[in-house]
Amino acid sequence: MFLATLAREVRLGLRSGADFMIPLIFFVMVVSLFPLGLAPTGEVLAPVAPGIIWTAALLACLLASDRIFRRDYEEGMLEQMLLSDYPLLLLLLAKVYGQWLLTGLPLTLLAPLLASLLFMPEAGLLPLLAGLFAGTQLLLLLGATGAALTVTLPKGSLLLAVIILPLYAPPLILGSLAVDAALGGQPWSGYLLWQGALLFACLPLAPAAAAAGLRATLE
Amino acid sequence: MNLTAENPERLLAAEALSCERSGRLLFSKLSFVLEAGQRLHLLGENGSGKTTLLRALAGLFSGYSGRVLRRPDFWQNCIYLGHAPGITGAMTASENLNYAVQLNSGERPAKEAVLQALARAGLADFARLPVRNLSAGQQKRVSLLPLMLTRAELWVLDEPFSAMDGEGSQLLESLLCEQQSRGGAVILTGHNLQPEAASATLDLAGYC
Repeated sequence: MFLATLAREVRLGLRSGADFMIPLIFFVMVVSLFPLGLAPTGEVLAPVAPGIIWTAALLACLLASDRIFRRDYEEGMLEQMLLSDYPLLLLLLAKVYGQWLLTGLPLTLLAPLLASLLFMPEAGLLPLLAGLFAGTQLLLLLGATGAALTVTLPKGSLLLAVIILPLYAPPLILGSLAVDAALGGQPWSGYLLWQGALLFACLPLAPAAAAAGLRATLE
Repeated sequence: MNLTAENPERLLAAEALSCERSGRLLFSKLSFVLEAGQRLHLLGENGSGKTTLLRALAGLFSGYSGRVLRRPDFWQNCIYLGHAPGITGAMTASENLNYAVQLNSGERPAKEAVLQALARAGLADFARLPVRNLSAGQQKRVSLLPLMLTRAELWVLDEPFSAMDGEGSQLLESLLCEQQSRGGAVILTGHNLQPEAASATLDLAGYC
């Protein structure tokens, strides 16, 4: 059932045509605006590159979070999931990971390209990739918790941003600090271990909170 | 609350249900028992609380007083079809059916059974199309398909006859009869229900 839900999510995403690529395009566009706005030189961009990429990734995940439940809510599928005998928590986890395969993973793979666009030195690539790999999972899990609370509201997207952005601060700080540390020649694994710890805490907690949220908002 | 094994015939019961929404009393002191083989028609005008009552019975709504008594295996044994059809527009009829049956019973239906169900609903020629390309009546038929492939004892159907043509209504009617004859129970709402088909009726107008 978990795999069936995951496969359904990915298939629906791919079938929606360009729709699932919007968060990715958004990610690339936000990052590429900075060289235009600041200055297209390495001295200006390289020091702020980790922060720019992480902030853009965070906004793209916020955009993707808003879509996790909306279609299923409108079509009445969420109600059916609530009524299923299968644990709702696992169904929601499958939905989040379906969305991660469509957004989080490609976003991580795009990051090195954007890093070179911002003149980020190669020393920062590994912590950036590792951080985004775990971090995008964390961002989508947190986003799903917020989306569960706002899915029934007609203009819930903005409220979702207001609810979730404060929670996005820890992954942002840890992720960009890890890259900064690597660029400064310092040990960086500690930051990412903390991020991993957050991910493992959210892995059961966020779907449980989202399940409770959906049960309450769909009343 | 659980219905115990003392009364194996009882599938669902309501005791003194009352509900008020937005300051308006929808129903009060409503009680009934639904037993195996019964078909209960729930009547009432638009906005009289039929959907609210069905959602309360299915466990989707808890803003009522009184008690709903369910069997311990209720969640494996009930199909609820609400106003939103519970089908995914971007998937085909058979994909929808596969997923709905898995969600309900945990098992993947056999391929032949899926094809048979599609043929019986007159959807065999449309099996490869995304459901959103079908007409409203055909989509309604797709949403009813899980009824054919699961052994749920209790069906809770909100206006199952709406948007159905003559043939679709006949199909649904025969499904309802089969469900009753194999010892299942149905509770449904609608506006042109034939009273002689019901084994019991409940008119919400009498509970205000």
